[in-house]
Amino acid sequence: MSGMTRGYVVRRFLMWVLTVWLGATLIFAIPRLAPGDPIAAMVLRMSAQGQIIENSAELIQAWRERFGLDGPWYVQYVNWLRNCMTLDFGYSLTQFPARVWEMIWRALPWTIALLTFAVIITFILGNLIGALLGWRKTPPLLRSLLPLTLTFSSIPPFIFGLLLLFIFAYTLDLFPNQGAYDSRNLQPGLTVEFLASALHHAILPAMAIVLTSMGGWALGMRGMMITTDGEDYMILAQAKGLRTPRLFLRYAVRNALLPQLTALALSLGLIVGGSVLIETYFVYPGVGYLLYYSITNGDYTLMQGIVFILILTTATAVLIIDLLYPLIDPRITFQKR
Amino acid sequence: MNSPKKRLHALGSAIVGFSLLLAATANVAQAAPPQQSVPREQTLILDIDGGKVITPDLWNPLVPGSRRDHGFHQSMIEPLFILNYMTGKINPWLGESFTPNAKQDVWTLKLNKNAKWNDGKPVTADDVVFTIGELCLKVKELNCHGAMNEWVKGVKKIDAQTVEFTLKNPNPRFQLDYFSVKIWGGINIMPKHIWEGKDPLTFKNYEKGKSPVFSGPYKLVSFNPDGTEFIYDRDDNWWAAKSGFKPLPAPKRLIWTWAGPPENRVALMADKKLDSLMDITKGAFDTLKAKNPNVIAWYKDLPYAVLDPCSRTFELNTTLEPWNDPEIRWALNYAIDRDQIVQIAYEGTTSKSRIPYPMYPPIQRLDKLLESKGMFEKYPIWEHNPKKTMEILEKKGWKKGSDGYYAKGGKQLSMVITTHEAFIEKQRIADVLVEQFQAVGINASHKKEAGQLWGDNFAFGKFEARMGWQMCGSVSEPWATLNTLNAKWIVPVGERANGNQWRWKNEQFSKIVDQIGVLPLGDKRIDDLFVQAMDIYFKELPVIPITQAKKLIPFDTTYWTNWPSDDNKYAPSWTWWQSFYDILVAIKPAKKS
Amino acid sequence: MGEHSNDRKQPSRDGSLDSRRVVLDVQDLRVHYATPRGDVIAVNGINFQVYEGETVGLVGESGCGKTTTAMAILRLVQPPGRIIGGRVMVEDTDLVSLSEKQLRQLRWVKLALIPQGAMNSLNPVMRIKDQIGDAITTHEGRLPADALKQRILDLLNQVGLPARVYGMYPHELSGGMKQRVCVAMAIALNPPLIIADEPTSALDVVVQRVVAQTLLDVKQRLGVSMILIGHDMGLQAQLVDRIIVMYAGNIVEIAPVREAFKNPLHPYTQLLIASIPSIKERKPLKVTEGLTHDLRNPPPGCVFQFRCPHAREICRALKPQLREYGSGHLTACHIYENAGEYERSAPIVTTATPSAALYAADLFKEVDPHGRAAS
Ligand SMILES: Nc1ncnc2c1ncn2[C@@H]1O[C@H](COP(=O)(O)OP(=O)(O)O)[C@@H](O)[C@H]1O
Ligand code: SF4
Ligand SMILES: [Mg+2]
Repeated sequence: MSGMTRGYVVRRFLMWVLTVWLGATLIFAIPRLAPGDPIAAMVLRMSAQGQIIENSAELIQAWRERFGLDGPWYVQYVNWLRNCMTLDFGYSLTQFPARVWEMIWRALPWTIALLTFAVIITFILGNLIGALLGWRKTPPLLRSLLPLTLTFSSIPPFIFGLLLLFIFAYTLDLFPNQGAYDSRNLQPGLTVEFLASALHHAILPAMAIVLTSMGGWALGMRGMMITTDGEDYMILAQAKGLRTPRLFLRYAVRNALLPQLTALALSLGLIVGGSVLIETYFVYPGVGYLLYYSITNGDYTLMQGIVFILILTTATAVLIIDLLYPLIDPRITFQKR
Repeated sequence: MNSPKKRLHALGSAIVGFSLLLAATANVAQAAPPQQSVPREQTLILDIDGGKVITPDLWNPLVPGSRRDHGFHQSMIEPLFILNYMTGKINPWLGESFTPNAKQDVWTLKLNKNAKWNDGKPVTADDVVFTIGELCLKVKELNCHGAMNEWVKGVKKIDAQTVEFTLKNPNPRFQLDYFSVKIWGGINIMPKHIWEGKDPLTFKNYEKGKSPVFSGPYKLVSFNPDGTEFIYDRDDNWWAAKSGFKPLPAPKRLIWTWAGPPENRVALMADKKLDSLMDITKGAFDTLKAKNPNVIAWYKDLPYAVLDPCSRTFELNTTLEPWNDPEIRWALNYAIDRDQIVQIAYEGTTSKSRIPYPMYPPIQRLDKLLESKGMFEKYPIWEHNPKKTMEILEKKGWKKGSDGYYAKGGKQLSMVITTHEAFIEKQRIADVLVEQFQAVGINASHKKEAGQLWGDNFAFGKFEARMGWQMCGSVSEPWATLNTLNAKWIVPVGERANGNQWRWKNEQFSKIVDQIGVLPLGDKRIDDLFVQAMDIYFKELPVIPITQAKKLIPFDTTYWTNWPSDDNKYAPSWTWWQSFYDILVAIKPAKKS
Repeated sequence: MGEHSNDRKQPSRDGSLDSRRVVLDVQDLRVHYATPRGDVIAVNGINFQVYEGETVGLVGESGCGKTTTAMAILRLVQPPGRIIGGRVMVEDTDLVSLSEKQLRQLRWVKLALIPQGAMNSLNPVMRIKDQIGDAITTHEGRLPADALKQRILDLLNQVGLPARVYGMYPHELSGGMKQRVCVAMAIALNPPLIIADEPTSALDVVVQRVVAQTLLDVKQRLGVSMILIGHDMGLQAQLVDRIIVMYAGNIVEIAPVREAFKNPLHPYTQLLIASIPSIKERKPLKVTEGLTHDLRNPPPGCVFQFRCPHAREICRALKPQLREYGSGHLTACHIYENAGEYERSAPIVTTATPSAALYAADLFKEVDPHGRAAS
């Protein structure tokens, strides 16, 4: 029986804490090691409208205090860790008085929705194509056509996004060119119109992600299928005279998919990172755009908040997958080794 | 029932459902879309220059995170005055007049007596005294604090329409610099009855479904939570129209929209879904014109673009050998071929500079003045003469080695030109400069730096040469730009300088600048002092003028006409400046309805 | 289909066998594996029959083509292998020429497999009940849930597995239990023939006995025919009725089990029997030193010529045919086929050592699973 031993759960949880803590520490250290003074830059940007300001030092000091950057580093570090625990990252450096958490919270649902949509499609399509490519009984015609679907993999997603925009938004006018829903006429809410509009808006950016990234999954899956196909249980299953769909799904795909699921959890962070440019090009109101904004505008507090959230969600996703893995792969149980 | 597959399905659908729910609910706290629709031909659609508005529900223009270029200060917050770039005259708006005493340290502001907030309350001296005295002077973190705190000792109400500003020092440009939209925007007056008792740092000035209270001709109707679209409808009760001060603007509705990267925005304008765009490249403009022949720009032909207030300059750290030597700086100047820069870096869309000023009509007058004094013969700044470069270098003891580079005492003559990584225009100039310096035997190279680092290196004097625009300041009078070279700013390398980051020290020059600084605007004595200062500047050439900066701003005449242009230069084309009111009241519908 | 039915004349062997029905008739079966340097001839035109209720042992050292033969019978030869020719007659049908669909319907119903390598033969992500269950439902259609469950529990019970195995995953079972699950699965549809490919080879000695016992029970209870592949002569002696000895893709001897042990004819069989050190200590078959030929390039003449201690010139020139010498006892060797010419031709020196004494008699004294020679 796949009983979780408490030790396993505790160990996994401690790993999670350690990962998040290390991430938080790095996020704390890196901007402080980087050259330049974000506060000074922010003060200068704020006041530099063709004027020279004489008392910039005094202003910089005032802001430094407001952002809690005036104390010794260990005090700042302890404060930062506390902020991480409460998810309250204080004010945005460039959007004062907006709070970082408030900004992230506004953007997060869109990114989660878009990426969930895109990643699920990518994962299903990519693995299906890979499975068919690696399956001996795939009809030869289909097998020779399938690699065509992977030709987009070599194109960077944002360039492909531009291509999609050009064709489907501007030339054919089938899809909107920007945004997450028809904000001119609709209000977010649980209405059919809103959800339909959100879906309509998500299709192009999602396609940009799906078509360019499913190749990786397909290749991985193809390899796994070929490995699986040589397994003894596949031969026995054939000998049993099972029907092809069952052989394919329950025996071959089901086994080949397991390493892919682990890879999925591990690639979550990358997926979010990769969507930054997509969100920028499609003006999608998600975290990716916010991250892009924070980097290009030197908004360190916002950047720290976002990166921490990314680390937190990725680490948590890995933790959840680890804890759920016995459901997917019965061989893994939480017994002590 | 309990098969892992089913559990996986359940997990999957739970995630999808959860995220959709999240998406649906987390964003509800925003304005509703407008109820009534306005036909396209009565709607003006403009591009948000600064990108997406990250906190779209922030309508407090005094905090650093505030944005004003999404229609906020172009249709709701009115300025006190607007500088006319073409004449150099300061025109009234909310303010009727702003006059200094003889010493230029007491300024008296008179407001337009008809001015009203859009909730019907009058705009009065109390609002001015409150804004400057209670907000700007008292709260350090507000963006109007720096400037006001530098100059203003006190503000006093004289009567309902009159306010007296007492300055710490004489400042003839007090009105020009801060209250007349010299560049982009200015210091604005807030309605006291709304702001009183609020914490100005956290006050958002927004209530769902209501327009914030300002005095402009439009009211906020709605915006989307992504901060990419803002809709304003005309306030037919606008005070200026009621009192006959200005006509009611023609567009019933304004939409400010952000369509993402330039490619998207150009495509939208080609589709007639945008009436104007912020600066685009010549290539994009050509495409646009081909698709939409109704599109125009400032000029009918090259250079098309309208003049930007910050001219481009090649800047040296004058504390470093050998750039601390004026003769060497002139040697560099002789190596520069500005015509080539205009052709290569700008594809002919700008013109070269011989003074570090933008060539608006009032500045053109100054340029003529210098010419009439024989300045450009004495200092042939436009002369491209590599031979002279080499002569000067050789006279100074530099020798060309077998590698083709000059060297002295075993040290090669090299130079690193830094640019801001986000500014392609300056990078292209720097690339051409590198070629030109290389051609005369100077081992120049180009390095792009992250914006913040680039700025900090400048302030701390940690640069050798750079392609920038940091003498920017003057647009109608000579002082602001000269003052960037004032020796009073100089601090040692390694400390943050607030001005003269090139650390060029010339006492005589600085004295003249200080003298001009206290003379009233338009004073006859300024011209003469200006020529004296420029004589020193040219002789020393601490910063080398390169080109004028241009902005190519297309306008679509399909729905709206009477856009500003070279034939009709009532205002510059800046749709993202607070001076946009001048354009707003001038444009006319293309089709008579 | 009908023209090649099994009414062709059976070679007469043993009177008692002759009257039984033939459940499997393998005719001239050839299997090649494609390799970059030519085809490996893994099964080189073999012929044999399996009679109803009989257990046939298929022995030979590793790599001689036993698994390939089994897979070819099931038409499951994995690429790069392929069936080059021959027929596999089950009742009146030739499996080799059936369509995929017809074949699928016959599989498991007529012919079940107990695979080699029990460790990996079960799908790791499916419960035992589902893996046995799908074999049943695929061929019999959906059954009422409790009927199916009862049937599976019965099967588990028949192979001596506890009911809790029903809901378990393969990794929760020991090797022996897994192999018994395979046995249960093989008898699920009551097929006339089961092919068991080294069913015990991966197991330790004690567990081997348990599994062997299970096989024996099942076989006796159900009267199923079985091909038992193995290189374990001891196990063969316990379980089989007839033995087929393969060498390098060819059958070199077929004999009733007693005959094979008491009176092996083929020099290879003799070596095999001789090399069994003791019944208790089973080892993979490794008869003699010396290399067999490259399977891509079989020499003319006898396949065993390079290692045969009795090889003579004639063995190089002429390939001996499988002939019957005594009731049901066949072999392919010139010593018997062309005795005169063999005597006359010159001996060849091979790397092999001369044959050792035979221990077959001892072997039968120790074990008599069939109860034929009680002691
Ligand atoms: N995939 C393969 N590719 C090439 N040759 C193979 C392959 N599988 C088996 N063979 C060859 O076929 C011969 C018979 O193999 P196999 O039937 O597995 O023997 P056994 O089961 O008797 O050990 C071996 O000698 C081997 O070289
Ligand atoms: S034919 Fe010759 S080589 Fe072959 S087994 Fe008989 S004696 Fe040995
Ligand atoms: Mg084998």
